[in-house]
Amino acid sequence: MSGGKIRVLIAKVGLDGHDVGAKVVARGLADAGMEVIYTGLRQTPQTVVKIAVQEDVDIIGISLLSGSHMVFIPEVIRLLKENKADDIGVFCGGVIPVEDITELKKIGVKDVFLTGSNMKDVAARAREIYAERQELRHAR
Amino acid sequence: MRDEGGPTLSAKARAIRAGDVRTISRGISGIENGDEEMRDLLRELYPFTGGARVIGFTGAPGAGKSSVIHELIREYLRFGLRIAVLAVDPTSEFTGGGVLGDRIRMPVFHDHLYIRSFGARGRLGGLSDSCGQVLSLLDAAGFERIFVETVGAGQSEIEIRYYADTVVVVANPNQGDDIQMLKAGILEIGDVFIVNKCELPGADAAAAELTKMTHLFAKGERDGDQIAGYIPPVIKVSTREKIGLPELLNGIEECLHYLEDNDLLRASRRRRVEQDLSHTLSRVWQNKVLAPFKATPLWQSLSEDVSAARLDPWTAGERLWEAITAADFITTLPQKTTLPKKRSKPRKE
Ligand SMILES: Nc1nc2c(ncn2[C@@H]2O[C@H](COP(=O)(O)OP(=O)(O)OP(=O)(O)O)[C@@H](O)[C@H]2O)c(=O)[nH]1
Ligand SMILES: [Mg+2]
Repeated sequence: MSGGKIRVLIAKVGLDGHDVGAKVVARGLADAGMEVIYTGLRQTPQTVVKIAVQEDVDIIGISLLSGSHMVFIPEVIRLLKENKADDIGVFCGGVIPVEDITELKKIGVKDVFLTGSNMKDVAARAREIYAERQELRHAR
Repeated sequence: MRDEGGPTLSAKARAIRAGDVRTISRGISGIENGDEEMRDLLRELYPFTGGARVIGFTGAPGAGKSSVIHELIREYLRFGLRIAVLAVDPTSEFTGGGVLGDRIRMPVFHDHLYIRSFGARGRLGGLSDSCGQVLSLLDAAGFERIFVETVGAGQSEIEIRYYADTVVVVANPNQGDDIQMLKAGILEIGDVFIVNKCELPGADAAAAELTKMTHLFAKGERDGDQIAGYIPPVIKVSTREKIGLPELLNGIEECLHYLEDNDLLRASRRRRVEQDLSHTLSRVWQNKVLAPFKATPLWQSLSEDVSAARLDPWTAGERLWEAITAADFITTLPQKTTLPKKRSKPRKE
């Protein structure tokens, strides 16, 4: 009954008007036994981090289609650090050019899932990220 | 002036008293996960509780509970109050997971506002055992109003009565003819009734019907759950057209005033405490008595006899009770089977 439950925030940042993908991922992670909170469309990095801290999520999954990932994602990561919440793991998904993936991982993004990724893989990675985070918390 | 607690408090307790969001959030997770260390923290914080007023929201799925809370938050923030929202959503009993969707309807940020989504985690009623503890933590953190959104189905709508000072029941116009069908239970627990989506046809009829019912209940016999001499208001609200929101705030605050003026807030706090104590005691009973008792030869042989129909369950129950009431009962329980340790570490999914 007790024991940690994985809590994930699925976030849409920027002006994209589409969230089918984000909702599919939210549903998929919920079906995999996680508690998923979805931000709704058009959030800023500030509001995403605020929600993540209030909800004490383990992971943030950011969905982007607009091409502004190199602006928004580093900002989310910076704000997490600023709020001493950088033990929250970040992954992202959507439309992201392959050449940006290395750069995103360099700044601390745990993984990047391109449109069409298998939900099972996403859920499995989410569990790994959660486990890493748990170790981080214990170490602190 | 709020007493910050002084240097005798632990760093965590002081951070919570000072309203530090991260510490509050982590504390709530700790409570939800049953972490042992939370007990010490709550013990420290408990003396600082009593300032918060808890307002519960119940009503059928889709009635507009989250939308109403969202609009109310905005009304309340104008008065400079510190507001917390606990939004409980159903999660699958099978996988334990779920999308907690209430928050999407509350896109509002403010330094005085804290919103937290809860998975019902398969518990009967959705309001968890931890509800009382979470409310105490938020109370000690200085939130003056705490809104609790229930899953609006099953036991939770009754259970909220134990935790809330005031219960708001959210109904809709299309329920006009069906108001009488609203479970009697719901009518009995409401302190403020609203007909949300009142811009839609049928709102007047629904409100009139509700008013009739509330008066009926007011005149009739009242049990301990009802507020004596108080007639719940019925308010027409539209979150879409922004109708009736100041009136709703007034309705809630008047109910709270009524409780205060008639020395009834203490009664609602008392009700919450008793609910919490019985939860705690059931847990202790379950873990420290029932679980080890089941492993004793007496229990085993009696259940064997009952299964074989050599004995009836009622006589067996009486024998077990005799054993329990014997003076040395506790010492006869097997030593090894102590409290199943609560896990603070992640469970393998
Ligand atoms: N027409 C109309 N629709 C409304 C009004 N308020 C809320 N709604 C709609 O009703 C639907 C449900 O609203 P919610 O606030 O999510 O209702 P809820 O009771 O919290 O729902 P659950 O948490 O899922 O049980 C949404 O589509 C809202 O847009 C209103 O005043 N008028
Ligand atoms: Mg809701």
